[in-house]
Amino acid sequence: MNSYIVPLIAAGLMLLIAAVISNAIAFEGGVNPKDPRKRKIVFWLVALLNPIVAYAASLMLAPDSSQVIAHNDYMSGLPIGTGVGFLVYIIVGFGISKAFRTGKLGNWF
Amino acid sequence: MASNDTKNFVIAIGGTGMRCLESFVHLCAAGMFDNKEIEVLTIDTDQENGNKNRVENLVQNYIRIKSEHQKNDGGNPNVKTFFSAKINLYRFWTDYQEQSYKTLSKLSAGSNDTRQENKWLSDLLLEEDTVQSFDLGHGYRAQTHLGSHLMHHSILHAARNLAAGKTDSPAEKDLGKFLDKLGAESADSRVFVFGSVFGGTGASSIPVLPNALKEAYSIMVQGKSLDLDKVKFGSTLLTEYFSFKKPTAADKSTTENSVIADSAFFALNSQAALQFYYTDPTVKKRYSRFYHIGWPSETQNVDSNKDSNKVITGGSSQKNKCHVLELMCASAAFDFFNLPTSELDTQKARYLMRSVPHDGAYTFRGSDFVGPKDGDEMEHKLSAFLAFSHIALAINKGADGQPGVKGFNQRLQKQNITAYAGLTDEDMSQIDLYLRSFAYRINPSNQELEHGWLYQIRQSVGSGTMMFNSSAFPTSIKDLDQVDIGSIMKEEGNQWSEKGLFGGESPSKTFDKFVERLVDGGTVDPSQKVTTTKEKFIAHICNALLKSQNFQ
Repeated sequence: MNSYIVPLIAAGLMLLIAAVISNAIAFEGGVNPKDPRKRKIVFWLVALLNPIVAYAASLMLAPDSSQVIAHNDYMSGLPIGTGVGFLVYIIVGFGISKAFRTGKLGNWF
Repeated sequence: MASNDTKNFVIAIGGTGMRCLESFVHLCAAGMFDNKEIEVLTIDTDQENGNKNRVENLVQNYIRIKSEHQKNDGGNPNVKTFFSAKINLYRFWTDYQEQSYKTLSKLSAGSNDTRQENKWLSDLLLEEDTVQSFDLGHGYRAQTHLGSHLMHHSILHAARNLAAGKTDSPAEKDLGKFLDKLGAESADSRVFVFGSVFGGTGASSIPVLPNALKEAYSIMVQGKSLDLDKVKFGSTLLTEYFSFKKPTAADKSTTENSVIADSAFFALNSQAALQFYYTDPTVKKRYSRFYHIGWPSETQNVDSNKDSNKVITGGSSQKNKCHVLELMCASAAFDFFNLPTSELDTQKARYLMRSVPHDGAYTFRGSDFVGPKDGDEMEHKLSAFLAFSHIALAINKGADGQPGVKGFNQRLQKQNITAYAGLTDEDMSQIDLYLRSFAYRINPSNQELEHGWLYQIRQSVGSGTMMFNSSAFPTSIKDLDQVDIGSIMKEEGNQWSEKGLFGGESPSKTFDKFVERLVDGGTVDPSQKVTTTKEKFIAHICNALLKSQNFQ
């Protein structure tokens, strides 16, 4: 399996989780509502979790070590894949935030 | 419906008239008088009267809200939004504070012979040591025979001063401006007069007002006349609905207080007044419509909200609470201003009444006030305005003196809606101030919830209900945190409360839903005729609230 696929799927899933949690945070009243900050924190917390989850999932789905070449290729690509997944999370998250700028997800950026 | 060219005038006279005007202004704020420009004249003998000051402050704040920043022109009429009517305020009061005008016995003008004749006439008709001697500065104290004469004279006196160009009085100048407007618009003008028939100043003035204005206009604008066949007058025949402590001998011990109105006679006063209004040919000719309004239940005692044991004859202490009958009077004005012109083309007055079901208590619906055709609209608009009040005062803490509307606007900015970022703190604090007078505020001195107009109206209904669910009226500061703006209206189809995790209503989720709706839509439509940032902001909120209530 390509070592980029799992981190990319993980990035998508983590974005979904961040969106669900952010949408569940209610709009607050008052001059200094805290909910936009909470959504931002959620986005970045999930962003930090993303490489860990992606890496762990990738490890679990890694080719069997008996397939030495495939295993080595996969493992050598894994850090890059995780990094790419992280970047994809940030970039797509930024895009979503701008696409829904007046909604709750607009508070991410 | 009345044509759009109809010009509307409201005259509020005396303490009761002022409170009726208060209800009228709040209906304007809720958007019941769409696309109308209304000229409002307040008339009183008591410039310091608490009710008069309260409503004048309210109207002035309304005008500031309608105006663009730092202008005070009252803005423009709008459609289907809050504060949609444009109101212009004029204030006229008779100055009885000056020593030579303080009592009837001190009034003197003309030659010695004229003064002597006036004295004989006064002695013939009015008791010398009481009616001729009481302090006129606190109104006519239920002495309508005296009051009609004096009010008529005051209006004409002001017109003579204006014609001669020898007045510096702001009251007389305002009367002049109002008469100018009335004269200029006399082709299809409607004048609605608020006042009681049982008290002093209003009861004295209602019968003489049309003729007094006509004569005053002729004096002021020589060669021109106010055509009373074209200017339609309407009024309420508002009979007794409140009472106060019977004045004691001690209260009446001084000459200036030798006459004090006694609410025990209000029923009798009302009866006599109604007989007069049914038979007097001048009144019947001058007024097109009279709306009978009365209160068959126990009258509201206005002493309960006063600290002193002394009877309050007027002045700044006279700040009576509002009553549902005053809203009924404002609704009569709504009917009058919206009638087709053909229904008012009569040469004699029509007397109208309607009854409200009473099952041990009243259950007021919008249709009880403005009829079945407009009742639904009234409920929706008042409900939306109450929801707006809760958003600013409860959810955004405006009741506590914090900037509620500003908080809400900041919320929109956090959601990247920056169209209203140009609103100043002053613009938004004016709206807060208005909403506090409409609904409630937290009194900073005792940290208790102080009731505004709608709450007082509801309270006057007693054990009955007032259009909305009782949960729409939180009664303690603690309850404000739990107010649910989605469950104000009674019909399920108009409710939009969100459920919580365990199925119960969730006020925070309802507010959440509202902000989403505001963000997603509710933008203003050109047909609403809103142009300034403030008008657009208010219309945006109004649209989102009415949409939430499924109001088309």
